[in-house]
Amino acid sequence: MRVRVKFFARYREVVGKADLEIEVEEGATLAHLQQKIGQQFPSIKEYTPYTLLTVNGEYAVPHFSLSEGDEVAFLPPLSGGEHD
Amino acid sequence: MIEITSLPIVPESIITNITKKDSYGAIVSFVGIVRGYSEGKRVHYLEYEAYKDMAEKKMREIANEIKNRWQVEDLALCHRIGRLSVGETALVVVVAASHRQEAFESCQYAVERLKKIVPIWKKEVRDDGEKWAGGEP
Repeated sequence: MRVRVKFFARYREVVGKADLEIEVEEGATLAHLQQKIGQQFPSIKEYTPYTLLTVNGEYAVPHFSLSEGDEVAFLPPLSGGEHD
Repeated sequence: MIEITSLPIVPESIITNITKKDSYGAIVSFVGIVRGYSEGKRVHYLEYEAYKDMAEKKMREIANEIKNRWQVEDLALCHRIGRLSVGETALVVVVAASHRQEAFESCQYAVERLKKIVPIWKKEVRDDGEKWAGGEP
């Protein structure tokens, strides 16, 4: 099945595109997708513990099961938490 | 009013546009502006980027959280995206309430929540190069 993956900020710059269509196996989870993308883009993998994942515009946990046509986004750390 | 815009924000007009009601006793506003220095380096300009649909949804959630927690009847959250020069307005939060305490508290809550859950990023373009704000691995 295919999902659409959106990349923002530093991830968009690493990937060179704002979104990609990616083929994943039936029953794949967000963690599987994250692993797949990490293999392709090692500098995104470095940020794995800091990455927020969303599915269809809602924050989601790594074991979330993906469905055909889902819109997944990899969000780099937000600027919040800084003292500004 | 919830908005993410690439156009300049005029804080005064957002404050003026809050519909005045007899029950209001306080309006508190926060105006976030682009600082000319970061980590001791001169900042030339910022680039803000948003996951716009989700960001507006999260901003509406924050507005609902505030209305459930405080007696706040009206509020505005407005964030600018795109290229911003030093001194320009990046964020405006305006809260109208019956009393000052709930207006101050809820305004600060909105700003802190916004920075934690609303997917907006900023890149600093400064003397020593470009840097995305946010955690480093």
